[in-house]
Order: sequence, then C-alpha cells, then structure tokens
Amino acid sequence: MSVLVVDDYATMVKIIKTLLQQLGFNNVDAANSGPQALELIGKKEYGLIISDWNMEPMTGLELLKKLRAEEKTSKTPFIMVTAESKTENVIEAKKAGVSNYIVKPFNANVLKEKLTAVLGPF
Amino acid sequence: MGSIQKSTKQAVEAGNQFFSTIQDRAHLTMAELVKVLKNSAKPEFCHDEKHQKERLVLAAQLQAIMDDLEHMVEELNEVRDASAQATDAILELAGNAQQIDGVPEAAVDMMSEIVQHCSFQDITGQRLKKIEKFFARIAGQDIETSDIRKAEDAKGLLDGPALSGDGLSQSDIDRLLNDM
Repeated sequence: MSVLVVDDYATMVKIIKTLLQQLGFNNVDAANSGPQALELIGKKEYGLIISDWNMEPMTGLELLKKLRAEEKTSKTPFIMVTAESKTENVIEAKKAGVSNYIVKPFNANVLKEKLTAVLGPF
Repeated sequence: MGSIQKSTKQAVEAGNQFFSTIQDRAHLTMAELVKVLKNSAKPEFCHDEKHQKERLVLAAQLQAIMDDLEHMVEELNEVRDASAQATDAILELAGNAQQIDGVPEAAVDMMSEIVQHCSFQDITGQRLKKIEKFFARIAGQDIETSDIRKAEDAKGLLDGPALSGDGLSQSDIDRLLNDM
C-alpha cells in the first residue's frame, strides 16, 4: 500500500517515514505542503494519508476538506498528526472527515495503534 | 438640561474619547508608535522644547528595542536551524546504525526510540516560530499568511503545541472521537 506523509518539517517527515518503514510500510512518499500533496495525489492512488495540520499556505484541515470533496479521495483514510490539541481542533477535524487523530509528540506504539484502527490488522 | 447634567455628559464624552484613543494606540505596533512619537515632537504639534526632546528620546528608545527584537528573531532562527541540522544528523546515524549487520536487537530498539525522541525538534521548532512571529508582529514586520490560515487562526485552531497541562492528551482525544 502506498502511503503519503504531508508535513512542512522535513525532520518530522523523516521520523514518520522511518517509523512506517519499521512497521512494514515501504512504499512511502512525502510532500512538504498541501498543494504538493494534492499534486502527488492527482498522479497516484494512496491507501493512506498522514498529514500535519499547521502548514503554510494550505493547512492540513483544508487539505482534508479538499480530499473529502473529491470522489476519488472521499474515503481515503486520513490521519491527522499534529501538535494542535484543543477540543475544537478534534471536533473540526472529525466534522471534516478525519479517520483518526494523533497528537504530537507521539511514539511508535500510538502510530501502530491508530494505523490498526484505520486500516485493520496489518 | 441643567448645568450639572450638562457638565456630567461632557465629562463622560471626554472620558469615552480618551479611552477610545488609548484603545487605538494599544493596537499600534512599535514601528507605528515610533512614527507617532516623532511626528508629535514636531514644532507644529508640540511647542514646548522639553516635551519635544522627551518624545524624541522615547522614540529612539523604542527604535532600539525594535532593533533588539529583530536581532532576537535572527537568533531564534539560528537556534531553530542548528537544532534541525543536529536532529537530522542524529536521525541519519540512528537509521544507519540500525542497518548494520549483527546489531543486537536491543540496540535496534534503542535506535528506534532515539528516532521517536527526535520529534522534539518539531515541537520546539513550532514553539520558537510562535515566539518569532510574536516579536515580528510587535516590531511591525509584515507576516505573510494565507487566507485559509487567517480563517482558521481566527477560530483559534492554529495555536501550536499546548503548554504542559493544557490541551487534550491522546487518550482524551480518543475518547472524544469515540463519543462523536
């Protein structure tokens, strides 16, 4: 399965990619912004999108809304991985159609747990 | 209207005007305050030479603080860049070490934990960016922000990492998602 990681912090992309590879996901692409993610999603089908929220110019929430508005990506699993941890954030993300929500900092166990919840056992 | 009522009304109006002026000033950036002070020190607005000097000294002091703030933003940028570079180097070394043939499993697990702990750089980087933006804003520097971000910012959705004890934990979030 192809996974797309979207984060404007290159270090965070490397960390998530490394953790995903340790969990057996070897086909992982990365985008450093919402627009770049949309470009990649336009060319390739992804089975999972893991995105940060706080990015410029397009936020992760806006990216999620755009994907949910498209038939092709309306049901693609989308996990928000973010430092934003207010009740309003979780509610807005859920309303926009997020599949799961991970608050930073997180560890490999949390990532594995959420991936299992979204994708089923792997 | 009696004379007491009239003077009370005038006093209230003057008071309101005074406070709205203070409110207007409260929204000024330091750069704008420096301009206001320099202008108000001009002879056409201020006839008293002593007051003119006081205003110019105050403007110069504010300018010096602004210069210091700009310098602090540069310092914070350096801290952020240096920490990102160091974290990247640690990540790469940990990743490479995991792949060495014959490395004990315990060591591989430790390397994996090192990788996870490197996410501190993302959190501290976001906190530093918040401080940089605050300094830049009060110094009157332009901060470019997209309309999407402005809208979410207005809803209080882009606060960055919460302070210790504030914000929801992962288990709080899980419960909230389950309840929705």
